[in-house]
Amino acid sequence: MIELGRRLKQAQRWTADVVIVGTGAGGGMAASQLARRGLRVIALEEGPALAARDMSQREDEMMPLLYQDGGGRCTADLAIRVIGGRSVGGSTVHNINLCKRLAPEILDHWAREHRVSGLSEAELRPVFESVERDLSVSVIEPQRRNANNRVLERGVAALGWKGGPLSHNRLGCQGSGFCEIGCPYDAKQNAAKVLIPDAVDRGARVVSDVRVTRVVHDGQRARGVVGVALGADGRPLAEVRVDAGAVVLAGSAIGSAALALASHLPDPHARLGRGLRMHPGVAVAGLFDERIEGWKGIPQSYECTELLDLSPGSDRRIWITTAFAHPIGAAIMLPGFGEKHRAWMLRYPQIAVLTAMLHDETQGTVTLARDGRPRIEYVLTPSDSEQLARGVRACARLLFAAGAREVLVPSVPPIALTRPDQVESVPNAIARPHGMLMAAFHPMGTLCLGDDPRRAVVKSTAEHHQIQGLFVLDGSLFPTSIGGPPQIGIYTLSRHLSRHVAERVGRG
Amino acid sequence: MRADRRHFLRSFSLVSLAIGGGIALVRGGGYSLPPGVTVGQLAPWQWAVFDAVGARILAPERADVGSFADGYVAGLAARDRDDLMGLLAYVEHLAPLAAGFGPRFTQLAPEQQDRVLTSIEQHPIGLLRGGFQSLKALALMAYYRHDASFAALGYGGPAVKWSTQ
Repeated sequence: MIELGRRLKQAQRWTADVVIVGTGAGGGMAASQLARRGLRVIALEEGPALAARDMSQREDEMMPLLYQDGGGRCTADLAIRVIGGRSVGGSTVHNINLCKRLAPEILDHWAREHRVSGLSEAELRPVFESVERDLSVSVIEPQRRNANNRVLERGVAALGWKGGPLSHNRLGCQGSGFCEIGCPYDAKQNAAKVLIPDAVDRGARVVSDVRVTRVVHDGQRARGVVGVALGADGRPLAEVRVDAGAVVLAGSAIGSAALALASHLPDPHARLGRGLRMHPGVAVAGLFDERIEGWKGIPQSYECTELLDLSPGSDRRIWITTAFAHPIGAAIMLPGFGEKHRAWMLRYPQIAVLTAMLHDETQGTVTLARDGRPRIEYVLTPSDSEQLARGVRACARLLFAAGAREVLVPSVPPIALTRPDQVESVPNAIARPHGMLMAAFHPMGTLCLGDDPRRAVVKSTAEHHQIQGLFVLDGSLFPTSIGGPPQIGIYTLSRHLSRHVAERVGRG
Repeated sequence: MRADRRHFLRSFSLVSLAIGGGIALVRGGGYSLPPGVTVGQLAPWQWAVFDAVGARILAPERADVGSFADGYVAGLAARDRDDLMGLLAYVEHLAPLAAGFGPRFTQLAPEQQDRVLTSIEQHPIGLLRGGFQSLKALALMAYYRHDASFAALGYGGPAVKWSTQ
């Protein structure tokens, strides 16, 4: 049973072996693993606890419940929306269930260039396997591919490009297509469905609606956390303090970095909040003669990897998949306003949408704004902008190859293409800040791991270089972009590294 | 150099928003809410700007964007609310002047309002472009959240029949 922080009326002081901040892929896995070792675990989540019956499939209702800042969180220059989750289960509640392992090239690069030890592909392989087994990961079969994904598959085949099916963690899926605003059928085999109940069954306390504001430490050792229980309207209700032998930060690369900064952790090499990586994405729409009805069925079941090479220094850093939205999301994505915008909306059933996501080299920062909230500075490097523009052109080519009669690039001003030979005229400049609508997913890297304290915030064991008993187990750990969906990587690192947390509190 | 230019542009846009707010104070009279409309967060002029911007974003459709915005603003952090109100002042007072129109936005003809909005949408200052996207998103949310908007799109809407509200 998840405890509801919004019901707390007076200050609380609790004791645990381990307190975990955040309940997404990293926090949920850590809670389960540590509870299985018999540790007294308390996991605190800023967002609400939602059950399947709370998912109404309505964008305007679910966005404020499931997303940070109602889905409106942006970089400081307002150029890029930054997507992050905020309910029990974190981003695994709204993600599309994509499952990809951390690529061997990435892990090798971390070992060589970032002095990450103990995380080779061979060492992680059995952990990946057990995570995938526990979360029921399987390939989405061709007969379950929806029309939008068949468009991508057709484009890939027509151009002779590299592509293939994707794996998801879903069981009992009804194919309703509302995944990004929560599943009312409880088909997502995610942190909220699989790991949090497992942790609770083994004695962990999981408390929703508690925003942790500070890690308590004495400059050498973590002692616990202080936070505040929030009402349904976000107003503070009561102070919550947890005294613990170890603290695990698992509130995402944005939230964990902000908490680390607010806690004035030692930072002798100015690494806290630095090195923010994300996967900025742009969408391109194709108009077809037939009905696509892209909102129906399983989203993102196929990928194109023609422009994706994860080797260091590669000049092919674009991952392409499908991206369809329900009416509000689609309307926001389509360019312009007034009658021209409406005309596109009226062709909504005939539109297929592809997205190009960047395996970035840009390094942003998370700092604290004056009001204490995270401030995200992230401006694409020229090379990354060029890659994204290349991705836009690739999406346009794929859509034409699949039979689109018109392709719309939602830039400012918009570019409408009616022939494939026009694609190369799309300039690199469209991917400059505010050149087109951009959303960034999967923040990473702000508290990265590695054995060199001058370059990394935490050791390869995930324990802070300076503060004993303070661990990070979320996407903040990744020293670089990973070029794909991160949940399996986060689940796996959390599972693999949480034994060090147990060792720190004497239950290794 | 790049960072300096960004800093300059950001400062310039913030100053523009402040000037818009200043002008709003000088010529801020003459607004009233339509009969039956009540607001909890917005001043009447703010409601009127949201309503007028929404009408052009959604044209030829309509939605009660002013009242929707009134509820939406209540959930925003103070910093975001202040930014949005500064943007409204810019739209109402400064953007028309920059586009060559004397009257404030809510007093312009629809075609003139479209020209003002286009100038903000394509403004060289990124923050203003970003601000336009926020206003656009708010208006679209006000309209496309209603089941009545779905039929024309051929969209079936939620399969489950419950609501969180």
